[in-house]
Amino acid sequence: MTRRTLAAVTLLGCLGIAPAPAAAYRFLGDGWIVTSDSAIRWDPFPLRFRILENDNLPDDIGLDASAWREVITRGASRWVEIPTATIDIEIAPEPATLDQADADDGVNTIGFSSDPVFEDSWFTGFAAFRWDDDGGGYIGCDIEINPDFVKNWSPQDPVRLLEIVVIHEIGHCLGLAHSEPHPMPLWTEDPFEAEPSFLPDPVMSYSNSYGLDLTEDDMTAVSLLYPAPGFLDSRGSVAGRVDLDGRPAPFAYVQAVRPGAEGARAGPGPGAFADENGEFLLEGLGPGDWILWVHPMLVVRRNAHGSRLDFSVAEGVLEANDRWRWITVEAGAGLSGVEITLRRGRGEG
Amino acid sequence: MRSPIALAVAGLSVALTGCGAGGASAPSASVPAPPTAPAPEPSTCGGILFAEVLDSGGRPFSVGEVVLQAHPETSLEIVRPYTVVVPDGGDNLDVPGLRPTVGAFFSDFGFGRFPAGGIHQRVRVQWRGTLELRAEAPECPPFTVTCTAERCVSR
Repeated sequence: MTRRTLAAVTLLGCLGIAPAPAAAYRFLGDGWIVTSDSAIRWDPFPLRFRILENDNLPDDIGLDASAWREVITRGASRWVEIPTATIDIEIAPEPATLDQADADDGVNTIGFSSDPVFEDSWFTGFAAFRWDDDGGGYIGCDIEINPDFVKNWSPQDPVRLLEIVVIHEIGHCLGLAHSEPHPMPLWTEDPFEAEPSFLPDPVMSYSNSYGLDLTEDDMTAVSLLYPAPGFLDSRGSVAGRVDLDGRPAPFAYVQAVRPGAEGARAGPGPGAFADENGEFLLEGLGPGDWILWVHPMLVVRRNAHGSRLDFSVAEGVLEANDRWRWITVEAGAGLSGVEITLRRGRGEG
Repeated sequence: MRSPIALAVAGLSVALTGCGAGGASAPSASVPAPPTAPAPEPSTCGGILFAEVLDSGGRPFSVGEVVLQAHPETSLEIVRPYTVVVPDGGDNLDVPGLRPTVGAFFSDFGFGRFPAGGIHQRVRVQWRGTLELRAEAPECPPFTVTCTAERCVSR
C-alpha cells in the first residue's frame, strides 16, 4: 500500500473582519484539478473521530470538554444532514491522547493543537490526511485547531467561529480542498442593496463571510463524492475551455449563478476551477438556466491554492476581467464545448 | 512510499441595439425596462442593452438597471470598475501588494429565454466611479455601455 500525506491549513477571517454570518468546490487528489470520479474519498463510512484530550482547551471563552464535544458533534452533523449525500460521521466516546494525532496510526483525531506552529499564528487549524495512493481512498485524517485563535482573531462569537472551523476541517477530511468565495466581495464593500443570496461564502473557501449552514457549493461537492440515491441523475454538467488573449487561462474560476429565471431564485450555485490548460468541468448543476460567471482566482493566499496561484500569476490570469456566459443544463446530461474568452484589464482605469 | 505534498446606476438612459437591429443610439430619454412584460424576440444577433441610472439617494454608490436582450451565445464582460480591496495578508502567504476585485454589485436578477433561444437578463447594479459593460456574441459586433453617476452612454 502506498500512502501519501497532505495537510490543508485554514486561515479564516483573514482580512480582519468579524465572523459574520464562514462557492466553489475543489476536490483533493492527484493532479492540478481533480474531477469527482478521480477524487479521493472516504470509503467505507463511518468517518470516526476521537477527541484529543489535553490541556489546550481555550477556557477563556468558557469552553469545557463537554461544550467542545457539542461543537464538534454539531459541526459533523452539518455534513451528515445534507439530503443529497450519504455521509456517516461518528464522534467516539473515548478520547485520544496527543500522541495519537499521528499521521499513520489509523486513529482520526480532532482537538486543540500543541503544535508550536500555531504560536503567534493567524492559522486557525489544519487537517492532515492520508490516503492510499493505490486507489483505496482515505486512510486517516487528523484535525488540529489553534488554541490561540481567540487571541489572534478576537471574534465576537468565538464558539460560533470554532464550529465553522470544525465544519471546514471536516470538509477536508471528506475530500474537499479550498474553494473560492463568490465573485462579489460583499464583505469588503458596502453596497446598500446587496444581493443577500450571495452570502455567505462557501465554508470551504477562504473568505470573511461564513455561515454555519453549508452553501450549495459545499453541499454539491460532497454530494458528488457521496451521492444519495438519485442525486447524480438529477444533475447535469457543463464542460469547456477558458482562454485569455488566445491562450489557455489556467485556474480561471467558473462560478455558476442562477440568473433569476421564473421559479428559480437568483444566487450562486457550485463553481469549479479550470485546469492548467484552461479546461473546466463543472458538475452537479441542477437543471435549468445558469450564468457562468468566470473570473480569476480571488484568493491570493498560497496556502489556499498552492502553486496554482503562482501558475495563474505567471500566465496573467489574475489580470483578466470578469465575464458572464449563459447556459442551460439538463438533468442527467452534459453540455460540452463551451468556449469562454477573457480579456485583460482588471485593475486598469 | 509516503510523500508530503504541501502544507499546506433618475437620469438619462441609453438603448443600444446590436447588429440585427440597426446600430447603436445616442443617449436618449429614459426607456422603461420591461422586467416582467413580454419583450420582443430578438433578431439573429439580438442585442438591446438597456442601461439606466437611477436615484441613488445621495449614497456613495451609483445605482442603475441593465437589461441585456441578446443572442443566446452572448457573453457580458465587466470591463470596470474594479476596486482594490484585498489587503496583503503576509509576505509568505500572498502575492505581494494589493489586487483588484470586481467593484460592480449585482442584485435583483431577472432572466427569461425566448422561443428562438435568445436571452433576456435584467439586473440591478451598484458601482463607484464608472461602470462599463461590453456584450459580445459570435459574428455580431460588440456593444458597450458606459455609465457614470449621471448617465449611460453607448459606443
